[in-house]
Amino acid sequence: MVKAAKIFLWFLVAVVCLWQLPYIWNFLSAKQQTTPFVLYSSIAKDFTIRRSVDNNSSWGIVNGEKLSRKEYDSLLPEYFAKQLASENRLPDTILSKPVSLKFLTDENISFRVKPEAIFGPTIPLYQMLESASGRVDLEMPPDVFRITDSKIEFINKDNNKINEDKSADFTEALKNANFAFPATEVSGNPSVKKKYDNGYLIVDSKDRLFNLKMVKDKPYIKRIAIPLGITPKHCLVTEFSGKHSLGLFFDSKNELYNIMLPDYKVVKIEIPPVNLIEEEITVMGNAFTWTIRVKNDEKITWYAVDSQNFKLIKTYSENIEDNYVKGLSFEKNGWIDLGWR
Amino acid sequence: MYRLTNIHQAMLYAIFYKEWIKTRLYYIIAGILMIGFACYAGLYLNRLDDLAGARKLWEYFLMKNDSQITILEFVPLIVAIGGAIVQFAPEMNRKCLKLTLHLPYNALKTVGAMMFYGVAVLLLCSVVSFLVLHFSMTGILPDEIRTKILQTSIPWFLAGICGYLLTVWVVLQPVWKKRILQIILSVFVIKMFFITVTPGAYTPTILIFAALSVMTAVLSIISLNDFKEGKQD
Repeated sequence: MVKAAKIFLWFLVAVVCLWQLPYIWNFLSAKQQTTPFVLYSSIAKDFTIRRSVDNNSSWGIVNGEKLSRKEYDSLLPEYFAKQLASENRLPDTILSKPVSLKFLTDENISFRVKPEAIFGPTIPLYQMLESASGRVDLEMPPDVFRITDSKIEFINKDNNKINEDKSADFTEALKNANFAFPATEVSGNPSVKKKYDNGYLIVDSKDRLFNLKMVKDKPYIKRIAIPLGITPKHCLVTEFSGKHSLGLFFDSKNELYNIMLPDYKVVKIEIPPVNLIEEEITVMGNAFTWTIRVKNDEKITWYAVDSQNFKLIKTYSENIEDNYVKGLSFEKNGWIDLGWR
Repeated sequence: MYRLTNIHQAMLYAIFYKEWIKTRLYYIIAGILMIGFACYAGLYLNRLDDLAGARKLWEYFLMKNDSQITILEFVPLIVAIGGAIVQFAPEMNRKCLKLTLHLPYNALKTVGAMMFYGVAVLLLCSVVSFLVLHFSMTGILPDEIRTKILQTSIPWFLAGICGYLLTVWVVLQPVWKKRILQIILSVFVIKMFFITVTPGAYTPTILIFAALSVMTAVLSIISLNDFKEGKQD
């Protein structure tokens, strides 16, 4: 018994050492990391880069060419439209297309997806906003919904009771659209800070993708046609101000797709598969191109894609240099998950 | 008067009774404190429901990764450490343990029974606190939110059990140098239960932490062995 107890004691000592020693080393040896800010310029046809070291910024193009701040702004009129307009330097046309300050700012998008947002702990209750209330500002709904094995249920927040009529209406609408319960993915942005509401993207048990929203208290459901061989897995409702996109989704092979509006056409964004469990994605886009940044522990890669057909234009990557030593870790994507990382 | 089936059962009853006499005041106060904190956490949620409104409360839980019961976080651990000290420190200081170990009963079983008593009382307090939390939220929150909040509290109660067993291990250790090393190791082991307060974060691995809590009981064998061998500073 004493021997078994001592083995367990040394096991605990080993676990604590493998957990704490790398942590202490990383804590003491960590240096300030300066991640460059990289955007694709449709004028320069290359990636621009801004580096900030010790509060000193430098601007340039990734091929090594140095730029002044004004030159940098003028290569990115889509992002610095307000600055250029204030200096009377906003061009009338970009790539032969007439542009205005309003057009450029309306078409700008930014979007970030962290692994914990997809894989982290969540409560499987969702809030469906009214998409056409007639009011300028959105309002949070008085209820939440859950999708069970056979129906959708709306629960009133005020009395914690199921709203049977509304639940029946929405369940019937889903069944009429051939929705196969239960849902395997439910994704939306229940927030009043956005400009408009696109409802939810929902994947049913037969891997079919639907858009569900509430329009004047009634269910609106639209099945989204997906090309054969694509299985949607993780959806993200975008609600960009330009209203050209309903949302993005990753399929079972971690390929990224955009659902275009108004025709709900699914277009593949031609970047390599993203390891969603490990990698963070940031999208910054404009009327001409999207710059998609994919970051993991070792490397950051930027992809420039055409914002009309989402074909890949150019790629740039940098390694992340640090002295990080891997160790036993207890946390991953918001969960307690023991692993070597 | 009832007849006891054998000497072992009689010894167990005697040990439990002795432990109860020794610790009843502490455990009654600490138990009331622990259950009181659970009542307060439940009452706090109900007051939020009344004052901020159910809509705001639900939206808070759905949009923020917070359980609103973190006031309870370290209470089971503090109660458990106190319990172990109250139960075992006098035995060591007054050299009573030496006498206890000379009883006509296996030393390991004697200390095991004492620890079983402590764990059982802590489990009782934990279960009552857990149920108080559960029922205080029943009317105001849906199952999904309630489950996540309750899941958040489970590692804290397990930390209590683990903290109790580790404290017993430390208190029974007669050599101060070893005792200090044991305290350092215990702090890190207990820290494993408090890595995050994200609701439900521990749920997939909760059985591993439950097993860890139970297994720390075997460490006391090492301290007991050192004690029996008469090791001293």
